Formats: sequence, C-alpha cells, structure tokens
Amino acid sequence: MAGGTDPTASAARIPVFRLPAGPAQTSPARSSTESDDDGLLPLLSQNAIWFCHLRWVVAGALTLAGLAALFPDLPAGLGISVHPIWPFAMAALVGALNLLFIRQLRRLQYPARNRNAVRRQLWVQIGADLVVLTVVLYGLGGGLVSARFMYLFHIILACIVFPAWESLAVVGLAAGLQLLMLAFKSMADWTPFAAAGLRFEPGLEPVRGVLPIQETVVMLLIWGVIWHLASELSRRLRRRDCELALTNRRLNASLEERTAHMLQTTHQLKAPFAAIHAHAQLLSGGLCGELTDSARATAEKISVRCVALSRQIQDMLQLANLRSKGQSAPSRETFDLAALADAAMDRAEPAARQRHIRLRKHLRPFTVHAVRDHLTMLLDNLIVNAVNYSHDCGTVSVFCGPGRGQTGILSVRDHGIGIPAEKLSRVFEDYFRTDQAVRHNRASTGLGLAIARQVARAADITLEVRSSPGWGSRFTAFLPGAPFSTQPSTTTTLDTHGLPADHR
Amino acid sequence: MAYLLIIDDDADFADAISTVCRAAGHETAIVHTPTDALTSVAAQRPDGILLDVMFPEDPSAGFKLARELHRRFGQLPVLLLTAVNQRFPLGFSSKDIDPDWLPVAGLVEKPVAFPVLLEKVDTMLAAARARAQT
Repeated sequence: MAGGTDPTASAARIPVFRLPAGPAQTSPARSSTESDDDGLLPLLSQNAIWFCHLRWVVAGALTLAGLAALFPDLPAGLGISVHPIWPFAMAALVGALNLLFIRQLRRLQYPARNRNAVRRQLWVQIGADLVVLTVVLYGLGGGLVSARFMYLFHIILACIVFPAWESLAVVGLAAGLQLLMLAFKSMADWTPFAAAGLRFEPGLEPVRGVLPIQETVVMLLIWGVIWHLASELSRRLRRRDCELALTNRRLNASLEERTAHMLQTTHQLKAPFAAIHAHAQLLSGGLCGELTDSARATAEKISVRCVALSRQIQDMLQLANLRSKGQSAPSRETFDLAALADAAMDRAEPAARQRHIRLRKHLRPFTVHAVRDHLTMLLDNLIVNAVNYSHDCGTVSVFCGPGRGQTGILSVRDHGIGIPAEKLSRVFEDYFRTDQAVRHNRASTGLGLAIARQVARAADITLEVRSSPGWGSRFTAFLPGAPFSTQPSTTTTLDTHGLPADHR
Repeated sequence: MAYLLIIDDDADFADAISTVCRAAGHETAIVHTPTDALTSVAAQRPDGILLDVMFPEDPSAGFKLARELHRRFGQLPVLLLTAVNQRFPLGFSSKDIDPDWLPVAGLVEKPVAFPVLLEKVDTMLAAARARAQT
C-alpha cells in the first residue's frame, strides 16, 4: 500500500450522495395503494350520499303509509290495514338517523377525506338500517313474510359499495338479525308493538311458535345467489371504474408534466438565446467593426430571425404558463376593459404604422372581474393577429363595451386575408396556420390564437370568429361582467351580436 | 458617462452587454458570481448595476444579491436583466419592485433589444443623479 495509507479509510471521508435505483420520479410519486384509495374515495362518498338520498325515499314512503292510515278505506282497498302512529314514528326515526349520517358525512369529506372513515360510516348506515328493518319486521309479528326480502335492498347496496367479503358480512349480519328475530319469536310469542297496541294487520297469518327452518334456508339461499351475482357484477364495474379513474389521473399527470417540461425547456432556451441575440445585434449594429454588405445583410437576417424566435419563445412560455396547474391561481381584479384595450392598441400602433394600417377604436367602459394579465394577453393577441393578417393600408377596428345583460363584448375586426370556412374551426389550435396566412406573414408564431383560447377557457369567455376570404375576420369575445357592478348602458345601435352596426 | 457593473453568469451575454454599453460611452466591469459582485462593489462603487436573476446554484440569487447590496451599500441603481418570464404566473413584474423585497430600479427581460436596454440604463442613471442632487 503506497505510503502506508489506507485508501479505504481516506475514501470513507469523502462525501457521498447516492441516487437510489428505480424509475425517475419527475412528479410526486404516489403508491398504488394511495392511488386506489384516492380513486375509490369519491365513489365511496358518492355512494354514502346516495344511501342518504334513498333513506329519504324510505322515510317518505313511511310517512305516506302513515297518511294513508288516516283514511282507513284507502289501505283497506289494498287488503291491508295500517296503524295510524307507527309509520310516522319509524319515518321520524329514519329521518333523524339520516340527518345524523349526512352531518357526519359532511364532516368526513371536508377536510379529512379519509376513505376508511367514509367506509365505517357506510357500515354504520347499513347496520342501523338493518336493525331498524328487523325491529319493524319484529313489530309486524312476522305477519308480512315477503317483507324479509327487504333485506335484499341492503345486500345489493352493500355489493355495490363494498368489496365481496364485506358485502358477504352484510349478508351475514342480515341473516343473523333475521334468525335472532325468529328465535325471539319462537321463544316468546310476543311482539312489543302488539303489546303497545301498535299491531300492523297485513292480512297474512303470522308465524307463531315455530322456527320456519325451511323458509329460512330457502331465503338464505336466495340471498346467497343474489349476493354472488350482485357482488360479481359490482366488482367488475368497480374495477372498470378504478381503471378509468387511474387512466384519467395518469393522462392529467402526463399533460401537466409535459407542460412543466415545456415551460422549463423553453425557459432554459431563453438564456443562451439571449446571448445569440445580443451578439447578432453587435454584428448588425457595427459594434464589432465594419462589415461587408453581404456580411451585414447576413447579420441582419440573424437579427430578424432572433426577433421572431424571441416572440415564439415568449408565446410558448405564455401558453405553458396558462396551461400549468402547478402554480397558485392568479388573483382577479376589477377593472375597466376599455382602458386595457386602449393600452393594447397603443402597443400595436408601431407595427400597424409600419404597414400603414389604420387602427380604429370604439371603446366604451365595461367593468370586468378577471386576471388583468390574462385579458392583456387576449387583447394583444387578437389585435396583433388582426394587424398581421390585414392588407397594407387596411383598417383594424376594435370595439369593446357592454353587450346584452351583464355580458361585455370585445370585438376585433380586420379586412385582411380572411380564413376559408373549412379551416375556421382549427384556427385556435397550437401552431395552426393556413397556407394563405403563412404566405401573407411568415413571422407569426401560430400560437397567438391558442393563447387567446386558453385565456378564454380560464376566464369563462366565449370566443367567436367570423371570417371569409375577401371579407376579412372578426373575432368577438363575450365576457362575463364583474358581479355587483353597475355597467353603463350603451346607446349605440347594436346588431344581433351586440356589436355596433358599423362594426359588422 | 457612468461606471456600470454587469453581474451575469453567462459570460457571452455579459460581454455583449458590456460592448454595447461601452459603445454608448459607459465604463463597464463584469463579474460572474454574487460573491465577486459584493467584492467588486466594495472595491469600487458603481453608478449602476446590471444584474441577472438566475445563477447556477441558486435560481433566485439575483433577488438576494439586490437585497444584500441594498443592505450593505444603501441605494444603488440596479437594473434586473433576466430570462425569467415576467408574465403571470411564473415570474414577477415591475409591480413587484419594493424597497424590501426587490430593491431595484427596473426590470428588463432577456432577450433584449439594445436600444431598449440603453434607454432603461439612461433612465436608471438619470433617476439616480436626480436623487443624489435632492
């Protein structure tokens, strides 16, 4: 060993960072258990709420039965007699339990969102229902034999909301309660309701003193078969539901990851591009010494392409930012759209002047409650788009103001190249440009209208485009007004779209 | 004319900015790290600073350096030159300029057109001179 040193000992002092093996995790990874839990939680909660809704139906049916008892002729016509008090009492009990369950569910869902707690709550609901049902059947004195099939409601519901073994446990609970009731009846032929004078006379002879073994066995067999069919069907449906939820979540995660990646990549491109752009400006500005005509022309071409690429990067970043969900929601403000439109027109003025395009404005105050930067993007892109695709010496008109009701209207009209009807539906797609558009303006990024669409989605704005080759294009945005704001009334004559007549 | 300190980890970009500022008649110096920047400012106080935001080891080092310069040397005219997108929701904008959080005179987003940059530099220096006279 050279120099008598122990290389192992010295290496041990060198700091180490170990990257664990396994798939790269570009986004917070979640275990399959967590995913499944998350996927099932909304389903479980929805089912628990659905149970509560069904219970209101049961309470309503019991109330109706009580009301029917007030008119004895009505149930008698159906061959049954109903006690005037017990249906109301049971309806009140079921209703009170339901209120309790709903309150608990609200507590569980917000903010705990605990799957096991929701499941436990479902168990409590089913258990309470079965006990109430058993008490009712016991109170009937076993008179309505077919009433035992009411347990099937709960068995089938349990199959829908629980895995097979849990729904089987519900079958077991129902069977146990049924057997317990029959055992009670066989041991002591006594019904508490009857003793209290609450006897229900369904017109069938009650079973007295004998445990109806055969009937019970047949009943349990029927329950078993129904449980098997319902739980199997439910298992398949639940699996499909989970697969769909998982696929949906993966798609969303993939989209979000793609957007984040695009955002990061584009941003990383900006720094080196800024250096290239700066050096191209040095060359074309003659700051690196005199150039030959052809070298200067080449440097200018690089500069022009740099400006175009800079705009492209800016648009890509704006679009990715708008689509990214990984950041906090932007704050909305209440402001006047007309002032924003006026500023946007000022920004577009130099580009319009270069091509002798006249900008006409017809701006009326309209208060919106929105993200100011979003609407700035929308305005900039619509106006720049109109200027880009106008003919030289053309006119671009911008209108904004109150429309019908609380809606605001922003409209940008040009008399440029227009869009063929068959391509109209695609103009808001990323990078879509018609052949005519490319021939007319090579510098456009193809993302301006995609940004406008994204802003419209985020701000609940309806966008409409009307266009035809030779006629030009009119982009109209219908914006929701700020709540509680008093919008000034418009005195201009409006057409069917709420636009001034001279803006058609 | 003024003495400008350019603080940017991108040597090529810093050189280009330095060239155009010198062509406009300013004197320039370039440093590539926040630590060197503090040393440089302590050695010779610049009339204005052009400061990048993102540095390799810390994406917000520019903000921190602006605050540190403000704390150590008082009001120094700083122009932030950054590739960070100023548009919502990723970055920040001139609305975020604040004596405590972002003590700078202005923001310029890269890539930048030289006329725009020189105009911003002139505005920043004029404001600093006006402040010094009052």
